[in-house]
Amino acid sequence: MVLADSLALGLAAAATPINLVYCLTGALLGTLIGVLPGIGPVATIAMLLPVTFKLEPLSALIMLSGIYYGAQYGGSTTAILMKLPGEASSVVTALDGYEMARRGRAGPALAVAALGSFFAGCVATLLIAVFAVPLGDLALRFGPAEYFSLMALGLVAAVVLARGSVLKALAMVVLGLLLGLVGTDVNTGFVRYTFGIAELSDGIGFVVVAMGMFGIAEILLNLEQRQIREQATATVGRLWPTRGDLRAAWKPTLRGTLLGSVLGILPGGGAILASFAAYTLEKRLAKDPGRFGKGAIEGVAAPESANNAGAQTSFIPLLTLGIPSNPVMALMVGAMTIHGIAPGPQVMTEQPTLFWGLIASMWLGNLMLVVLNLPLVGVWVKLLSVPYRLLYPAILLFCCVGVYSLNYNAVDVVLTAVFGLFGVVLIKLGCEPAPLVLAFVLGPMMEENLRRAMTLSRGDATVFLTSPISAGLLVATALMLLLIVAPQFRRMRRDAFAE
Amino acid sequence: MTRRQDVAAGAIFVAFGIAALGVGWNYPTGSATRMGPGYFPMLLAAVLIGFGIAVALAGLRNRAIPFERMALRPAAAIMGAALAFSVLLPLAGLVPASAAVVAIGSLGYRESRPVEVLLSALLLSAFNAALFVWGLGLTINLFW
Amino acid sequence: MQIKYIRGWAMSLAAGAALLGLAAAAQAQEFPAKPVKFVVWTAPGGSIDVLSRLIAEKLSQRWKQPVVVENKPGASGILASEYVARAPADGLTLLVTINTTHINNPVLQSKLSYDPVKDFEPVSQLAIGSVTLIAPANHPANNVAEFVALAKKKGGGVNYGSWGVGSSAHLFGELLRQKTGLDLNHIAYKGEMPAITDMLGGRLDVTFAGGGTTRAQLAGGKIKVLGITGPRRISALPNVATFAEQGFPGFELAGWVAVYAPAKTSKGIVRKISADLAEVVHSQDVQSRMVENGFEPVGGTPEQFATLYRDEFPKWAELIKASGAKVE
Repeated sequence: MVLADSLALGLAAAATPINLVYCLTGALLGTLIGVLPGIGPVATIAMLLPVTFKLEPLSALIMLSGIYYGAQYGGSTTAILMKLPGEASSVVTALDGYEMARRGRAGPALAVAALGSFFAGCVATLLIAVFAVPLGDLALRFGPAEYFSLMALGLVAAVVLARGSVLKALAMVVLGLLLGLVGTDVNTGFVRYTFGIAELSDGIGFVVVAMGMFGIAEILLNLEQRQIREQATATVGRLWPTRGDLRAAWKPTLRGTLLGSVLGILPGGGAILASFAAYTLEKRLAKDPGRFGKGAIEGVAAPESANNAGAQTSFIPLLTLGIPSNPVMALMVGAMTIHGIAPGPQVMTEQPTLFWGLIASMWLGNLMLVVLNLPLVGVWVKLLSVPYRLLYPAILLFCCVGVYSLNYNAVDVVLTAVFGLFGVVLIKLGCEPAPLVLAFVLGPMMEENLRRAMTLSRGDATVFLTSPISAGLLVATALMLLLIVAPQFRRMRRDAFAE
Repeated sequence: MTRRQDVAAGAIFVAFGIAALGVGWNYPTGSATRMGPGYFPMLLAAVLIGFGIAVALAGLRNRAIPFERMALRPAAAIMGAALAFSVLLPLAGLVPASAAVVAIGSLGYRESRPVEVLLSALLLSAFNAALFVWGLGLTINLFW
Repeated sequence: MQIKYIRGWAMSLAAGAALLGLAAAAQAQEFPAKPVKFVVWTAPGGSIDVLSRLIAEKLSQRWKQPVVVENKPGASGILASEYVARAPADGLTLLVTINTTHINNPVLQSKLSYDPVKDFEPVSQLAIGSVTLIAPANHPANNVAEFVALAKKKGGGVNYGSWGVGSSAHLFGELLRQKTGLDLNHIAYKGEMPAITDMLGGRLDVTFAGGGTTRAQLAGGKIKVLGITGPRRISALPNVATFAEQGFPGFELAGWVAVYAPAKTSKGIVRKISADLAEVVHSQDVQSRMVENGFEPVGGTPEQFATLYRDEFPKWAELIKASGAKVE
């Protein structure tokens, strides 16, 4: 009953006309920057911070968080339509979402993404309202050893992302890990593999790699094919998902929401894993995993609901511990301190209107976003009927400006093109880029946490097994590796006998 | 020997591994308990070389799958567009750089039509200016 | 004749100089005629970034010209510093930075792509920021001395966190190790928050944190403060005694936030910017927001800042050397 009262209080605070306007503004702006490749919620929220100085604290937080989850909705749009993931969380959506679009099913893909995100947003918001405090403690249980084991599990999952040869996927994972090492080593401050280019000293940007290997590579491949035979831009097909689509998508949505909610709480990069983990899980559970990567609707529903759930639950460590779990949450801390609010557990008791108002606004914002995004599906799909010769230079231009705007760094733009070419080479050699991109994200975190764990334990490697969470994750990693490698060995033996 | 996909892929992996090993040779490796910045790279480079050799060997044993050559025209156009953007932006501003990306990028497709390209270069650079600089408030000069 | 001639020259020279001075004053008066750019090298949302945006907002109201913050992160500020050093000396491109780019980098790195003194015109020291040593709320020690005594009695090592190799947290940690002989084990993180998380999770014994973060975490009741570095107590944490007060000298240096213009920017413009910055920094609401974020507002003249820089540089260099921190 206390909960109902609190929620009513929050709803009353969030549903004032002025706050609804800020919520809508945030959600709209978030959708826009989510759709644009490159430019993300961090830069946008930072630019809007001064504007929020003049607002009521609750209005400010409502608008800023609206930008954040609005970007999650918008991010899937370009991933599905153009294979352009603007954020780590929409990389996986690009795999099957784009294939659906190519098969004339962009409409259902976008609709399922929006509906899945909405469902996940509602569930995660409820989770925050009910279990924020106990869930916050989970964030503290994860130290370097636990994160290392989680990353190890993520890397093995990366192999599952690709179709075809496991050996090549493994090699791509290792190559991705190596590329992730470029830049300054956190543990010692040592600069590695930068070839004296100062722009590389903070590493190669994720957007550079993902945009190059997915978006730019796709443009190159499309251009090549069209040199040979002119083909119409993807057929538009039906706008809405069929009953069969929905039946196929609801269970993945549910599982994705759960996975995303849990992983989103972890401040050390858990949220990045959410969408990958959800995809891998679905591929493992599917009766015919062969459909994945060829436009399976489960491959859109699961990661999209996972990343939105994760985006919501990443507020938990901030609200219950005062710990920002990602750069966007760090900006929220900035916005709160500017208004004289110290983020942390005391916010709930000292400023209940602010706390519950923010939570209620998340639900309202998600509702607005789904209402907004469903009609937009038709507009986006229309975009695909623009002749490709006009469409691709525009995509290219948006990529250039988007990448540049990340660090105001021209080197990044050229690097993106280089990764585009490299991506095409790899694809032609039968090596899919997805495992490389995931390993690229996980690699630096994995090394950082491995070495930190070893320094903390003063060289005692048993920490990875004495922590129950870490040990559990490592067992899961080993089992998963076995599941992947065993069929390969069986095949090899069969081949050997056949010869 | 025909153009075998897996052999080429394996060669690329080995090349990257050797390059990583060579460049990182002098990075301090430390010990397993207090790992230096060179520990992880050396380990990964060695594993990558191993995988590369395995991929190549498997490619030699299995049925040969040839790979397609890369088309040069699109690759050159995209690379040229990115280079032009990064050179022109600081010198000439966003509008000329945007127009250059559209114009050079369009060369990658044989059936691009000059009039259309010109129009879309104009339209897109104006739209870009409006969206990014006025709309989203990025601090980029429009013209020099 | 001769004298008259000379006097004539002198007079015209004087007139010319006065005219030039007037022109410079006029130029400074109407400054800025175009939008001004604050180049910040921390990622959006960092405390320096937020502070810059706060001040930029106030300046743009004063100047009736947009003042925009441009984030140019990377390489401990080397990219941003080099960028401003090469920018036109018209006062329209300014670097907002902390001591890292102008003290730590020159001391730690053998070759630097900019000269911290020759390439810049100091404009204003905006604020100083001290670093605190914090522990979980249930830690038995209540100050630095108790912490040191307990750690010595307990034996074994103590793990402490910092936000990076060569950061002031790391420097002070190493200094503490040398002064006390404690077995302090340095663990580097990418920011202060991940280190605090690990401390709350029981994996670190203590960690360093900025004043603003400490104030916020104190409100949450999960931490306690053992001591603060710097020359004196800070307004954000008036009850926290400095290391020196507690009998640990050598920790008196405080980090600072300052504004630099490219070298050869006209004196008039530098003076104008500096004066306006000082007024903004001393305005009521900016001051209170700075204090809440753990900064002590300064806002002095270019000369004061230049003098302070000359005084402090050798002290920092000594601290960095004493700590044994190295960047390869």
